[in-house]
Amino acid sequence: MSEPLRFEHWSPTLEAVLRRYLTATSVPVSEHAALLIGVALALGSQSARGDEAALPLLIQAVQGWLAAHHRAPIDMPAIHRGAMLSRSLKPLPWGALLRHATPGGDDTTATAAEATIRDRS
Amino acid sequence: MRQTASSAPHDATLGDWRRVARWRRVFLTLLVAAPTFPAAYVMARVLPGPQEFFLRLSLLAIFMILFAWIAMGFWTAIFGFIALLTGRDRFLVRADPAQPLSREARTALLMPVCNEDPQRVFARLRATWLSLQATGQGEQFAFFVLSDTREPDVLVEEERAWAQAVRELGAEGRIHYRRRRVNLKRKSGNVADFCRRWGRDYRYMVVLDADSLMDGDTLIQLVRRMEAHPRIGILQAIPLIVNATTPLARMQQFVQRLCGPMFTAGLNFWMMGHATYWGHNAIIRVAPFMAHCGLPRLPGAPPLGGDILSHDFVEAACMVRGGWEVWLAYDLQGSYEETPPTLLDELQRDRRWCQGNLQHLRLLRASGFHPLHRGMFFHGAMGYVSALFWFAFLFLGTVLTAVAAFTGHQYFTPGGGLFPVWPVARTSEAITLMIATLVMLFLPKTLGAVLAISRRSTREAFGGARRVFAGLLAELGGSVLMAPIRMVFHTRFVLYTLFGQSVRWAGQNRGDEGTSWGTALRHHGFGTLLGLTWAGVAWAVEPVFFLWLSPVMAGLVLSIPISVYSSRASLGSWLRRRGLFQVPGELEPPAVVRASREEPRIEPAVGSGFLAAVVDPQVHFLHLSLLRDPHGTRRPRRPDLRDRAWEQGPAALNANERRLLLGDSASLSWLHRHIWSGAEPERAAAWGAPPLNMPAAVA
Repeated sequence: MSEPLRFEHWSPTLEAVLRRYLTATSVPVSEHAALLIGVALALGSQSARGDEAALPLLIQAVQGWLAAHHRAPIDMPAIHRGAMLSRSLKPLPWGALLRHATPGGDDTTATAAEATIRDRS
Repeated sequence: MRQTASSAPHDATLGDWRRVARWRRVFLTLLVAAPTFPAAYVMARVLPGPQEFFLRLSLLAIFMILFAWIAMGFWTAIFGFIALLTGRDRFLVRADPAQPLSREARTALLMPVCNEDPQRVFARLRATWLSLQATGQGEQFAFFVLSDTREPDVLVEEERAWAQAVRELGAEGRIHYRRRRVNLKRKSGNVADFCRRWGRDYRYMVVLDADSLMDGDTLIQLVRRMEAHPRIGILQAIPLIVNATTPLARMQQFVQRLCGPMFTAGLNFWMMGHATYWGHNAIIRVAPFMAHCGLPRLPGAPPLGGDILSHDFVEAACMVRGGWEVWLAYDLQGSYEETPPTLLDELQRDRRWCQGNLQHLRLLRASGFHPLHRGMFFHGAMGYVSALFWFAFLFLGTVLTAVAAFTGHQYFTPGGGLFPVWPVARTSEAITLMIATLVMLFLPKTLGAVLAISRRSTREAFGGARRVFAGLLAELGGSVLMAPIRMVFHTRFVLYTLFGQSVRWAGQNRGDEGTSWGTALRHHGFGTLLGLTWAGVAWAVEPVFFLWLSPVMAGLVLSIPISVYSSRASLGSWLRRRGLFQVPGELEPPAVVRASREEPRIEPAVGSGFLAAVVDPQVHFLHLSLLRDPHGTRRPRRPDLRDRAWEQGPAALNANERRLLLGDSASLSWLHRHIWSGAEPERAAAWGAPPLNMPAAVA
C-alpha cells in the first residue's frame, strides 16, 4: 500500500497551487481534502516524480470527479446513416415548361396497386 | 419501407382541393389582370408628350409589372379578409384536438444557430421546452441545437448555456447539442446533416430559427394535424412577431399582427396544398424531406451559383415535386419570432434574402416543379427586383418630364398633317390613377384594422379602435417614409448580386443597441445625397412634378434621422407607454413568451468565452468532452499557436487562431495546466487566473 508521505512535505506553494485550482472548480470544499489525499497517494506511489506532477494529477482527479457528479450531457442518439436525396435541378427547354404534367417523380407514377405492394413489402 | 405520397391514405377532409385550386388561380389571374390593363391605359394617356416612344414604352412596361405586383397583394388580402370575416374555410388543415398522439409520432425540434447570443437562444429553447412539458406529451419530442457557430467566444458560451439548460431542466438525452466542424451549405446543410444522422429516428421535425419560439400546445397541434393528413409533407405555422422594443420593430409587429393573418389566409385561398415553407416554425415529415429535398449546389460561383441561400422555397417546391403537399396552418396561435430591431439590421438581412431570391430565377426552368412554385420563385425575386423597377420607373419618369419640359410641346409632329396637336391636361386621370394605386396599396392594411376591431376581444387586445387607427396611420406614415430608403438599398442589393458581389454569412443582430448617428451617416449618406440631388432636379424641371415626387424624396432626405430614431429602444418604450402599436398579448404575454424573457442566471466561471474554455476547469472539461480527443492524449495540432498563446497571452491570438486552438484538445490541456501551475504567475495573470494565496498549512 502506498503511503501519502509526500503530503506532509508539500511546500506551501504547491499546496496553494492545488488549493487555488480546487477553489476554481465546483467541487464542494468538503471534498477538497479527499482529492488532495488522493493526489498525495498517487504521488507516493510514483516516488520518482516531483512536485510538478501534483497538479496534473489533481486536474485528472477533478475531471473524474466532475464526470461522476456533473456529467457533461454529451451523448447523442445513435447515428443511422441515411441519404438526403435530390433530383436534378437541370433546366428544361422553355417549351417543356408549357407541357408541365403532374408534379412528382417516381413516387407519383406508381399505381395504387403498386404502392400497396411496396408498402406491404 | 419507403413512405410515398401516393401510398399515403387519401385525405377526405380536404377533398379534391387540386381542382378547386386550379379555378381559384384562374380567378386570381383574371382579378390581377382586370385593373392592370385599364391602369396601364390611363398611364399611357397621362405620360407627358407624345414623343420618346421607347422611353414611354419602357415606363409603361415597368408600370404594368409593378401594378400587377400590387394587385396580387391586394386580392390576396381581400380573399383573406373574407375568409377571416366569415370564419369559413373548408380548406383549412384541421385535426381532432382531442386525438392522442401516436407513440410513433416522434418529433425532433431543430434549432440551427450561427453566432447568435447563446443566452437568448437558450432562453427561448427553455421556454419552448417548459411549455411542451406542461402539455404532458413532451416525452415524444427531442431538441437538437445544431450549431454552425464560428466565433470562438460564442461557441464556448453556447456549450455552457446548453450544459446548464440540460442540467437545470433535467433534460439529459433530450436536448442535444452538435456543432459542425465544416459549415457545408449553411442552414440547409445543417438540417440535412441532422437528417442524415438522426432523421430515421423521427417521423417529424419542427425547424426553428434562432429567434423562434413555439408554444407546446401549438407543437402538439402541428403533429396532430400531420398525423391526420398523411399526404402533407410540410405544414407551416405562421410566426407572430414578439418582443419588439424599437419603434421600427414595434411598427412591424403591429402591422404583422393586423394584416399577417389576413394575408396568410389569402395565400391559403389560392395556394392551398402548393404553399411555401418559410424556413422555420414549420413541421416537416422527415422521410419525404430526405427523399426529395436534398439541395444540390447551383452550378457556377456565388452570388448566383453555389449554395442555395433561400433554401426554404426550394425545399417546399421539391416536396411538392415529390408528390407531397405543403399547407399553411394560418389559424394556429403560439408560433412566434422576433424581427430585426433596426432598419440597418433589416437591410442586412434583406441583402442575404435578395441574393437567395435572385438565385431562384435560375430554378424557374428546373425540371418537375409545379408552375405555382415557379411563380413563387419569380414572386420572391420580384420582392427585390420590384425596387429596381420602381427606381427605374421614377428615374425614367424624371427623364421624360425633363425632356418634355426642355423641348416644350410639339404642336406639329413630323408627318402629322396640317392640324396642330394641342396640349391636353389630364390631371383628373392622373389623380384617379394615383388614388387607385393608393387604394391597392393601403386598403389591405385598413381591412386588417377593420378585422381587428370587428371582434370585441381583438379590439380590446389592440387597445381599442382609436389606438388601432392611430397605429395604422402612424404605421402608414412610417412605411411611406421608409419605402424609398428600402427602394434605394434593395436596388443596390439587386445590382450588387447581378454584378457578382456575394454576401458574407454572419449572425443576425437581434439586440436593441440602436443605430448611432455615425453609422447612419455612413450607410444612408448616399441615399440622402441622392434624395437632395433628385429633389433639386425635379424642382428645377417642373415644380408640380417635384410635388408628386416629394413623399419619395422626403424619405430619402430624412433617411439618417429615420434610421437613428426608429432604432431607439427608449422611443419604443415611450410609444409602448402611450399604447401606440399595441398588439394582442403585449400587456399580458402568453406564458411561453413570458418565460422566454427570463434569461437564465449564468453560472460563474473564470473568464468567459475562449478564456473560460482554457482557464475555468468546468468549462474546460465541458469543451474537451465535446472534442474528438477529450483527454488531450493526441499530439497537439498547433504547438506553434499554443506556444505563442502562452508566451504572448490570449490577446496575441486572433479569432481564427482561437478557434483553431479550441479544436486542439492537447494544446488546450497544456495551456490549462501551465496557467494553474503557478510557475509563471505573470503569464497566468494575462489569462485571468486568480493570484496565488499561500495557505497556512494543509488541513
